[in-house]
Amino acid sequence: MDLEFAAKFPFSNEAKQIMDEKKPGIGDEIIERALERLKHAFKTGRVMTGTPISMEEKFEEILIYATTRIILASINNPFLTNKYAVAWAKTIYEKMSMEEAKRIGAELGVVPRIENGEWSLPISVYLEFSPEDVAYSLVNREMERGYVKIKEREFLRIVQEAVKRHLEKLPRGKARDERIKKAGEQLREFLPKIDQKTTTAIKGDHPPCINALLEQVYKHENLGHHARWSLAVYFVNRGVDTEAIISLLSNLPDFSERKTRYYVEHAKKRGYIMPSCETMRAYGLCVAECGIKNPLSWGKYGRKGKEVDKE
Amino acid sequence: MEEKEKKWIKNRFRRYYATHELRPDAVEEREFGYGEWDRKIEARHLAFENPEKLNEFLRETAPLYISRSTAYYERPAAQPMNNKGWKGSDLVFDLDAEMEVFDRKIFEKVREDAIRLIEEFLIPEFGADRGKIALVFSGNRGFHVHVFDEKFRMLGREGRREIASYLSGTGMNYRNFFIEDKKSKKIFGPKPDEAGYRGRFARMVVKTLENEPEKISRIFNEWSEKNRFVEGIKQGVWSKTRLPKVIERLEVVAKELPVRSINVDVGVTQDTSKLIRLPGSLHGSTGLTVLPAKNYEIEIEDAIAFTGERVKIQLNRNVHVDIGEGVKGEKGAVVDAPEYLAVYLLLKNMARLL
Repeated sequence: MDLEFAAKFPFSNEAKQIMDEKKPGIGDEIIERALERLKHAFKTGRVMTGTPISMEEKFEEILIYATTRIILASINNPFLTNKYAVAWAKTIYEKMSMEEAKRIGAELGVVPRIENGEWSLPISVYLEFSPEDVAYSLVNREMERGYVKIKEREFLRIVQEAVKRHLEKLPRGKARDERIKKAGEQLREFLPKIDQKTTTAIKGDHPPCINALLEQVYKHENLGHHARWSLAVYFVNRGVDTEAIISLLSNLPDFSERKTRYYVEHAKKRGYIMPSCETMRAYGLCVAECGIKNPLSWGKYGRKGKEVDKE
Repeated sequence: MEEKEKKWIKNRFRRYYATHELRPDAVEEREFGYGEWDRKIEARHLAFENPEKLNEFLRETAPLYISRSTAYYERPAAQPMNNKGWKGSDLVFDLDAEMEVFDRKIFEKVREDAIRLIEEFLIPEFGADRGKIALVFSGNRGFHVHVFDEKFRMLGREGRREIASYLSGTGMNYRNFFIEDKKSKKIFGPKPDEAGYRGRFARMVVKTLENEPEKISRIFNEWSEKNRFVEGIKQGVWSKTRLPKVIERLEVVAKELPVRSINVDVGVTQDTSKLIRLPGSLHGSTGLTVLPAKNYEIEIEDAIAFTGERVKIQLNRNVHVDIGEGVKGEKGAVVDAPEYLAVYLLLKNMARLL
């Protein structure tokens, strides 16, 4: 039992085993502290961790973490869950050592092959956990016999991504504990408000790809860079006001107002045009065969939107 | 097409299924779909508990088109999709080329591309097991490559899309392979022994310099100039030539790198619930067999499913089809064509039955 490690990474299997063994009860004070940590994470985008010294305190760290997850499960909102996952991923990236990363990676199925100082990952693992970024795109990579070469530094980034994905899955089961439910309710204030003005501004007849993206936004799912960019540029081109676009994108769990504002204003100023259907397809964002060349032409030319039937 | 012609074709399809037994893999875990005259897939969510049941269905229905899922399911007939219990999907690629009627040259090109996909990409780079790859003639304009290797089975849509993009070279810019050292004016780039597109590019440039140097520049017809450049490339130094803007001149080579006939647009590779033409079945747009190739060797004639019996047809337009004994004629001509070409032309709406 490695309490040190478990307290530092309370989402690890090591920590889970310790909890399973001890089966502790959750006191009011722990719930209070768990709620504080959640609020902190939603406000700052980072997880506040204690500096436990005694065994008792280390154990408490794990218990507090477990309680945050139970509270999240009780409210079961993807926005909050994902936002918390992002906060953890960011926090551990800053504080985990290479040895710790290897250990966490192993728990999540991210095991590097290291030969003569060269690191690589099995392609299926790489594809599952590599961050969405051109630098990680396969065309810019070296691949051999099913292994993709990576740098040590990139391994940390991939483990970070794996942790995020891991934490996006909540423990099952509804909380029966009234105290937990109450704590969960208190988190509602951190949910983005979809105001009437935004809804009206973006209302209209949109092509299937944009509707699919909107649906994801409203479900507070994580959107990749291309998806986010395409959505923003689409509404910029439709003449929707900057504030409304920002307010729409505030539904994303890793929303940053500063970055979003910069991108949207930049797109507006530079007059960025909407990616063509071909580009949308290359991004993997095309969901139907509408018979148009650019999503902006929807309504003018095509609205067949029928399922593709190819041999 | 007239009713009597439809009936005539259906009878031939029926005869085919009465005498051919299909033995596809994992029948009980696949979803099936079939189509007739209006659509290639009119009904889906069908399941067969064993090959006998499937063959029985084929004998009774003799559908124009029959497809099966690339996915394996717990309950292939369940609806909607997320009730099926997805257990993974084969990795599948669709390679084809535009051709109105069969064209031997294009067919050969697509076949070579498919072999390149397997031999240059799937096996050495993706590490796919050779014994778990099938090259299948799609029955119409190209090939399907099925990869049954378990290590790709659980890949999701995103991962599959990334693989398709890699193979088609989407987002690949060979110029990013190079770094120019401003001080020494040296250009550093990939070496031929590197993996991935970088190494492939370096190898292809060396090969082009050896075989058809003028494709890059006539300057490399000069033996010493070419050698100096090649020796540099082997060290990863790409500036050992007096040719100005040499990197830009290499674009002709870069274009040859991806698998060009791979179809990434329609989502065959990325869609984990895709239905793909069932190997061994007939293709309703040609009457040819969807045929797995043995050792990559396949001639269009191998896919002929019907007899050479004479059938009188009239051509609706000028026709030249090079399958089997072939048929050529002008619009309005009456031809005694072999049965398999009569079926082909009727399905392509290029002839009528007399």
